[in-house]
Amino acid sequence: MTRDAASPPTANPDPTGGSRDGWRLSRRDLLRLGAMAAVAVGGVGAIEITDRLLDDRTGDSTPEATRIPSMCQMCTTACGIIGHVANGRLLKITGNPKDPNSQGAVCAKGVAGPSVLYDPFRMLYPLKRVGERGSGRWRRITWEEAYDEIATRLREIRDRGKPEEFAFQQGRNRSSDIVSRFLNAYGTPSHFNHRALCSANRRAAIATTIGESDWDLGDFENSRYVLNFGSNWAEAHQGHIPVAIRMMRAREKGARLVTFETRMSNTAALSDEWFCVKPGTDGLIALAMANVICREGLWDRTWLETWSNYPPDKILEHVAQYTPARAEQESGVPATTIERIAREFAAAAPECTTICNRGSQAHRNGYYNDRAITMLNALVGNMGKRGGWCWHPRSSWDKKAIPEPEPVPDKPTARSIIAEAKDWPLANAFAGKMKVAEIIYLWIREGRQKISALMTYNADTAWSWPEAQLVRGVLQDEKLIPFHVCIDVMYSETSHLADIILPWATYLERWDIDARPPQGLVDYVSLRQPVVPPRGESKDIREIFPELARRIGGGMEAYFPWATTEEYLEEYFRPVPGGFARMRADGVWMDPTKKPHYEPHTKPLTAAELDGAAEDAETGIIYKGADSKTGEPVAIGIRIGGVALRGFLTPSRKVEIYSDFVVEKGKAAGREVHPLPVYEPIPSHQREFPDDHLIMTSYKINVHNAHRTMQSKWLQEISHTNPALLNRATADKLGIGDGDWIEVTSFRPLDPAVPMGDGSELGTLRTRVRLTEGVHPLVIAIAHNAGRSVGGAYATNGKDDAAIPGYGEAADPDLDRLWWRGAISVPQNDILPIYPDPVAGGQAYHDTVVRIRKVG
Amino acid sequence: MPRFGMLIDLNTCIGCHACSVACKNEFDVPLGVFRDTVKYVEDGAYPNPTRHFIPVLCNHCEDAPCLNACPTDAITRLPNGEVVINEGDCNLNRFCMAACPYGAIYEDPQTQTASKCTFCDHRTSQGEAPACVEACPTNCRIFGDLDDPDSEIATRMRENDTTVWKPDEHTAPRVFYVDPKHALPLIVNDGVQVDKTADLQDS
Repeated sequence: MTRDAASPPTANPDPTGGSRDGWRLSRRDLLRLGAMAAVAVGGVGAIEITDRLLDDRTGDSTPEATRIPSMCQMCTTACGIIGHVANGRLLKITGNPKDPNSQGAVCAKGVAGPSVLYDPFRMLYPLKRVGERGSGRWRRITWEEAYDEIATRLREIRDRGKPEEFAFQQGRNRSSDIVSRFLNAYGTPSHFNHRALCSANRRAAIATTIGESDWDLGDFENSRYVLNFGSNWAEAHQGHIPVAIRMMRAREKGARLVTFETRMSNTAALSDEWFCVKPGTDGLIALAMANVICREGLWDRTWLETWSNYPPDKILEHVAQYTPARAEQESGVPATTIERIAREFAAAAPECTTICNRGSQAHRNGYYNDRAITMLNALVGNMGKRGGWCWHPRSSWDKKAIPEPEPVPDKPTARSIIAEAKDWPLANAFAGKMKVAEIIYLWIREGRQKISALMTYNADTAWSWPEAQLVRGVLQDEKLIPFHVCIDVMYSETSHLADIILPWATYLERWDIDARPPQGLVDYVSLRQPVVPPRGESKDIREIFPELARRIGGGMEAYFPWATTEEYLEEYFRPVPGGFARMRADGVWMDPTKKPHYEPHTKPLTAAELDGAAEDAETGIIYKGADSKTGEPVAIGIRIGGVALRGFLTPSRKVEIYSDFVVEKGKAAGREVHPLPVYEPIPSHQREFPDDHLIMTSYKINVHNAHRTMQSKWLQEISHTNPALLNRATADKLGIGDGDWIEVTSFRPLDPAVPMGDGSELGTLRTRVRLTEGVHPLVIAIAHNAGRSVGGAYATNGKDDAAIPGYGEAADPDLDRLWWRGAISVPQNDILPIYPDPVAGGQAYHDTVVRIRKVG
Repeated sequence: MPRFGMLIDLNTCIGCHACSVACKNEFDVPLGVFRDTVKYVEDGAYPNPTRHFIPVLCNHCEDAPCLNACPTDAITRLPNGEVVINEGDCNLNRFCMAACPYGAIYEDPQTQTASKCTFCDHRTSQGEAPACVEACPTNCRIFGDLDDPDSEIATRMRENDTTVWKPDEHTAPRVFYVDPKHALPLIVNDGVQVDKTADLQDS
């Protein structure tokens, strides 16, 4: 593949630009020059050495690096960081101790930030394709030309009265305010996300059960027993570092950590006990534990009678079918172990909690698995308690206290069949709409929704989506996608199939208002601010969108009255004491009067709240007023033991072990949804597996996240390869040795509830084997953070070192030392079938049946 | 004068590599060589295997074989005990590299000298912690004055059983470990450098 310049750049690049802010002006050189002097004077800080040398050149007398608080975005956890900057160059990143979530801690990805900022292969100038789409032939254009063409295309679609034909595909979006503002002002509902590839099943399960939140925040720091089903918090959880630091503090206080997982993740290895399970049986294990807890009376019966919408005896009756013996048979975990762990968990109550994630929920039965796991907490009465299973109503900052600056556009009235994804009853049933990401490109191919323009934003769908080859086919097809604008930091499989590429500023060069689910159970608000100015001509969407809105016109521009992002954020942060200036200085603010969100359901309703309220005599539910849209009465609480309390924010105002709501949603979608947590065996796993048939699972390594961490030479140096992990005993049976080549052929599930679920062969990849004791004998595990074909030499293990127009040659002396050139790195997503959980739509990442064959 | 040392508590190391990346960044360590890495060691058989995470770096030995081996006196011990290489005096004879039982010394491709962890003497002399210690999210690394009984490291050393990497070498390391699972002797691929032989090639 070539990415040659078809014509000279239209704008004259700064002739010194590449070397001034690339790796060429290296701190290494400066350090080397300063090293002898440093030793001679008994040690001088590296920063000071750098400064002094720069001082000699520039005459600048600033001796200290400036510390600029901001927020990380190497993964979704968004930890508070401090950028140490001298003479316009980011020297290092450390944690921001004022961040209540991460408390000054960062991981390897966070520390590696400078290697992304100064990546020699970064895209720095707008590009327009000049050859066939996907030919890799580009012309550097000006922002003026890019704006003009994009605005013209988008204006035409909007003027035709078909705003839904403009689709916006985001990957990880931490600028939700400005994205929604732009799309709503435009009027398109075709706002596609990736939640179904992330956490949809688990969110739906939690929202069904407690209503108030779709995200649990176990109070790990105060817990004595943490029961983990398939969460890899030590490497990749959405709350990665905030969870990990609390887990380790709990460990220091003697807490016990127990993990069920198909593969020995670092989390499994760090646990006091790890039990290897067959994929998709986590929910059955949880139900068997429920069986033990109920049968042996280890439950908190009083709590259940008070707060469960389903009586304890009925629960006992329901879980009677899920015996530990049955769970052993299906999961492989001994019944005696399940019994012991259940007893230990219950004995630690209420200072015990579950945690679960992709290992339990990224399955065809993921919703039910997490329903069962969540129920365990209700059984032992730890919900909302100190050291127990907790949650917070806000997954970001308090948007009532810090609202979006007016004027805020209304939500679109146009409809998007793809975003609504009505076949999946719970995908959009709750406040946080989840959608069904894995069907987007299939449905575009099937012509279910016409797309006239696609904008991809921080989303490498052509590499990271299930059946990525299908996505590439759609993106390649100019009839299906007549116009594609890609906004990203690095050249990717997706930008390779764009018509215009806009070089996005990294998280270290841009602004955001942001916050994450608070692991400390008190919400907060943070600021992401540029620690250095954007390199080259890269820009953030906060600059791009207002400009496009002005050029598209038609009233859109009215929603972008601010001259600059600073002006907008100045207004946004006005409710914070000290305002924007304080945010710039501290990076974060937390209301000191707020208390941790323990047991919100027990809060008594005030006399004022009860004034004018009505009570349902049968249920005790207290109503007040009517919903402005539906006219239905609004529940505000429930009378428990004669006292009017807030209750849970479910239809019953109690913990919904039994949910009529989901049954009704199922009926509306023509699918049966069970009201109780059940074990639903994975249809395509219910057979004898021949020796060469295995279940393929995926996983993420701690130094990687999405496509952009592979830009980092330091992270790639630690992990750049993804051989297939195979249990030694399995390999012995097949005559496969360590390092042998194998062919992995995947099958679609034979499952009528899954699109294209006909059991047919999907695809084949060739890779090599790493033997391990740390994986289930029926599993072949392949890391999915690998297999890039473009994006620079570091990301692709040397495959792609083509220069991009406007860059000049990539300048980094380390390029000559890329020692992992040619190491194996395969794209797993190409053979991963589109496989949504029929209830909530979350992708089943760990259920693919494959056949393996030794080759070569 | 303090006598600096480091304690690494393997109870709370999560193997995240923040330390080694921070070190890369602090010194712009060239690709291919490391001053600090985290060893992963798998141990035990299915269904009860485990994996150990063991950060390793120069041990700044009291009886440093590298210092004794250097014919050009390029390796010196600072008054605080940190063992450092003065690049100007190094002629890359590699004796130090051969002498170090920990494989902590590498050949810097840019300077053409021997190089290694300095315990961040440029930072510790300013009262700061080494970069790896600052970066550790779980505070499993404690750095400080071994001679100050009130220091955190001295306190933690008193409260825990500690060990060192390769005690049989009798180098008196000043990097100590709390190693409840006895993981240190299991390190197979010697040295602070990454095991490049583990890579499988694509062709």
